[in-house]
Amino acid sequence: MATNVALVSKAKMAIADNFGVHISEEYEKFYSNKDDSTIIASLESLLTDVLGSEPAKNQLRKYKILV
Amino acid sequence: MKNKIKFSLIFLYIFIFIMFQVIEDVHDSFIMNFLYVIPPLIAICCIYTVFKKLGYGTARGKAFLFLTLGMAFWAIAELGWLVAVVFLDVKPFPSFVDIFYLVAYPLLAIGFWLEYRMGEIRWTAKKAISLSLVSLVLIGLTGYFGIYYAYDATNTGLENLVNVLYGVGDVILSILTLLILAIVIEYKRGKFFRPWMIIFIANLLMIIADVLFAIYFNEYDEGAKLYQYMDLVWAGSYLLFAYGFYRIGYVLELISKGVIEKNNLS
Repeated sequence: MATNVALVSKAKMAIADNFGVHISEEYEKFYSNKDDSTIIASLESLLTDVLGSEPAKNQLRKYKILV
Repeated sequence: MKNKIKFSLIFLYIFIFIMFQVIEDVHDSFIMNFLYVIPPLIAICCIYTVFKKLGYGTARGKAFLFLTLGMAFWAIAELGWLVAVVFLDVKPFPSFVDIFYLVAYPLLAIGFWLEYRMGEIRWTAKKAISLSLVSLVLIGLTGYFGIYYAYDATNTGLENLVNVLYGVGDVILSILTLLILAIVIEYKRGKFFRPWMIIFIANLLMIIADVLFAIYFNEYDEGAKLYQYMDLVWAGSYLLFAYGFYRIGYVLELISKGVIEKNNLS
């Protein structure tokens, strides 16, 4: 399966900015063989779990993962 | 060190500190000053751990760099107070120590501002009105007691200047504390809610202790027993800062473990 490199890169940046470089690198590995919808759902779930639902959506918009 | 041991040591410290506050008559003793510098040192360890986990190159990491520096200046100031009182036998207020206390305010202000910017807060009319009202009350109180009331014609010019500067610092902290409150409200269903609520309370305690010091400086300076309990408020504030930052580190640790586990399974 071809991984969406641009999406993984945006997700990695969002995770690094929020939770640090080490965690973002681990997530990059996790996302490497996942499809777009799984990556977005996983990222949204992570951000919602830590920041709450509205700030999570704001972060997804900020990094242009959700429009 | 296991969490249970860490928390047991902190509870033991709190017990000893309160006990000494109650029984110790000589406020400027080495033991009292030594016990007092422990909370800011714990706070700086906790916040630095979070900063290291985040890294400087990240948005939250930048906020934590300034928060770490601010807290470090407070910790240096508290150590400076101990050195001034116990080893140099000079009056710690006003003195070189105040430079470290005062430098911490703008650094913390930048840190909290960057954290607020991270939150990407969307303001609603209800949120803006309610926080503005709380803000007006808090800034009014810190401004009145910390700046206007802190001026005392019987004090020296330097004492008044330093006191008023603390008041200005507290007004800035009050504004930023409200920005943090806006973030706390935003995070209300997330794991960051509790740590930021604890940090918010720690900030409030710091402001309360600073304002009390400005109002009752003479009584505190003369060593009146009741007013020495202000140290408990400051120490409590540092311990809450420490706990709040520790909780943020704990959340980051949980995320890290979770994703490593996922990677091992896949």
